Amino acid sequence: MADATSVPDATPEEGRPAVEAVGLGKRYRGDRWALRDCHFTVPAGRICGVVGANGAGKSTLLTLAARLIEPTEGELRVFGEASSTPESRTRVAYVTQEKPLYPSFTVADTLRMGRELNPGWDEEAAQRVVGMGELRADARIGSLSGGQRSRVALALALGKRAELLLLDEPMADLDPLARHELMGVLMAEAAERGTTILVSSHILPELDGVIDHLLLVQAGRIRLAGDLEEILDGHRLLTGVADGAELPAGTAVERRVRGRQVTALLHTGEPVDGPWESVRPSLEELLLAYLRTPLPTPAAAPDREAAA
Amino acid sequence: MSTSTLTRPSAATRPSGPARDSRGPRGVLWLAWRQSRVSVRTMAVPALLTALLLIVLHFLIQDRAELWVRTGCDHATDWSLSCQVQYGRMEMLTLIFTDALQPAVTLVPVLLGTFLGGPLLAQEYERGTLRLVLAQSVGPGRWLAARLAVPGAAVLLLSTMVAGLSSWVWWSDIRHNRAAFDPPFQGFTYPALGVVHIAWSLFALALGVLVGQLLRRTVAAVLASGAAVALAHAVVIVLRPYLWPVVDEEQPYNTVLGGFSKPTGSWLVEQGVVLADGTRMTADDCLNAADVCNAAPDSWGQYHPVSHFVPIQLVESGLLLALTAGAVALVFRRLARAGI
Repeated sequence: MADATSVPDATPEEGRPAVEAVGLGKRYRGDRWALRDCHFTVPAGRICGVVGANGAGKSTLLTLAARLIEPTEGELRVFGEASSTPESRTRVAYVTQEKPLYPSFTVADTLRMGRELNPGWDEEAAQRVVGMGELRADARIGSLSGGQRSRVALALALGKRAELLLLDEPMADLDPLARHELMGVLMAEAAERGTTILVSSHILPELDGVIDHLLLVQAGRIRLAGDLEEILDGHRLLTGVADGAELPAGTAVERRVRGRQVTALLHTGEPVDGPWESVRPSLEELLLAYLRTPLPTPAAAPDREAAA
Repeated sequence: MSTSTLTRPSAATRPSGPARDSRGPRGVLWLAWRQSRVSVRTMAVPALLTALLLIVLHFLIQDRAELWVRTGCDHATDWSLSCQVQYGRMEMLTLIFTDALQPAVTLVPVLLGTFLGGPLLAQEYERGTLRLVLAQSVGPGRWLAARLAVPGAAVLLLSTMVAGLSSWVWWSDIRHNRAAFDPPFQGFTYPALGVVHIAWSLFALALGVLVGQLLRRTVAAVLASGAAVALAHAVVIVLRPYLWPVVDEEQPYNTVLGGFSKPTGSWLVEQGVVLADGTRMTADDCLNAADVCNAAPDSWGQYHPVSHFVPIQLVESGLLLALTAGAVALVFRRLARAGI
C-alpha cells in the first residue's frame, strides 16, 4: 500500500467527475420538490462540503447519489453511471444522518456484516476507527451512546474502501474531541486513496480547512458550486459606514447594517472602489451570508423588493 | 480499476478474523442467519416439543390399544369397571391430541404471520437498517432473497415436521379410535393435518412480510398482519366446500336421524328434502314450510366423502402457494421500485 505521503496520484481518475448532476430534480409525494434543476460537477478526489439550511435538499442529494431513491427528472451520474450497477455499489459508501445499525448486533457482528457484504473490505481501516473510541467488540449496538454508534457507522463506511464516500451529518452527535479525531482519520484516508467525499453539515466550523469544494444547496436549488478557493476569491466582504458610497449595483449577496456600520458580501472578483474596507471572506462568513439570504424564487421576489 | 489494485494488499494482510468466519454461512446468508437466529430458535423449541409430544402420544395410545384388546374390552358388550377406566384413560390421551394439539397447530400460521412475517421488513424500514444494508455492496434482490429464504426455510422445515407427525398420529391412532370422535373435515382437525398446514404457514409468513413492507411500522405491521392472516383464513373456510366438486345424493327420508344420513366422517355441505313432485327444499326453505317438508318422501344432501380430503387439501395448498409466490414477487418488486 502507498504510504500516506504519496498523495493523490494513486488515482488515475483524478480530475474526472466523480459526481455530476444534469437537470437533476426529485419530487416526493404531495408534489413537494426537494431538488429542482440542479447542475453541478464534483471532480474525483475532492472533499466537497454540501451545505444548506435544514430541509434544503442536502439529504435528498446524498440519498440520490447513494442510489437509494431515483431522480424524478434529469440524472445524477456517479463515476459516469446514471444508475446503480453491481460494480457501482462497491464504489460508493453512504452514512445516513440517522446512522441506522442493528441494535441487537455487537460491534464485532456489525463489522463482520461489512466484511461479509463488501468484497473490498478493509478490516484494519474499520478497526482503526472503532478502536479509537475504546469500544468493546462484544458490546451491543443498542447499548452504545449516539456518538459511539456514529463511530461504528463510520467504521463500516471506511472499511468498505469506497471511491466515493457520502456522509450525511457524520459528526452531529460526536463530542468535539472525537469529531476532530475522526475528521482527521477521514481526511487521511481520503488523501491516501484519493477518495472523493461528499459531506453534508450545518456545523460550519467543522468544514473549514477540510473541504476543498463546495455545494451550497438552498430551497432545492444549487446556489453555489465549485472549487472552494475560486469561490472565496470571487467574493469580497466589504465594511464601511452606512451613509457612505453606494454599493456596486447588482452583485451584493447580502447587506447588513449594524448601527452606522455596513457589512456586505459581494459576488465579484474585482477590487472594489470607494470608502470600503475590502477583504476576502472566510468560509463561514461566505456561507452565513448566503444562508441568511434566501434564493429569490419567482414567487418570493416581489416581497423581497418591497422589503428592500 | 484502481480499487482492485488498492485493496489487494490489505486483503492479503487481513488479521486472523476471517479464519474464524470460515465455518457457517457467508455473505448475505450470514447476515440473514444472524438476523433470524433468535426467531428460528423461538420457533424450533415449541415445534420440537410438539414433535416429541406427538411421538410420545403415539406410543402411549398404542400401548393402551394393546391393553384394550388383551383385556377383551374391545369386544365386550357390557363393560366392566376396568374397561370403563381404560376407556377414560384412552379418551384423555386422544383429547390431548384433538383438543390441545390440533387447535395449537391451527393457530401457528396466525402467529407466524404476526410475529415473524409482520416485523421482518417493517422493522428494517422503520429503523432505517434497510438503507444501511443497501449501502453495502450487495444488490437489493440478493439481500431480500436471503432475508426471506432463511426464515422461510425454517418455517418449511418445522411445519413439515409438525404436520407430518400430526397426520401420522391421527392416521394411526385417532381415526379408528373408539374413544375419539375426530372426523377429518372438522374445524381444528382439517388445518392440523396434511399439506395445508405447511402451505398456510408459508403463506402467512409471506402475507405478513408484504403487510409489513406496505406499512413500514413494526407495531402496525404486527397487528395488521395477524388480522390479515385471520381474515384470509376466514375467506378460505367459506370457499373450502367449493374447492372440489361435492357428491350429490338423494335417499329416502331417514326418520331416525331426521333427514339425510351422510357417510361416516364425510362433510355435509348442504341438505334438504325432496318433495313428491321432485322439487328440492333446503333446510332454510323448510323453516317457512314445515308442513310441506314433513310430508316429503325423500331427502337430498351434498357432501364431501373422506376420500375428498386429500384433493381438497391439495387444491387449497396449491392456491395458497400461488398466493405466496405472488406476495413474494410483489415484495421484490416494491423493494426494487419504491424509494427507500
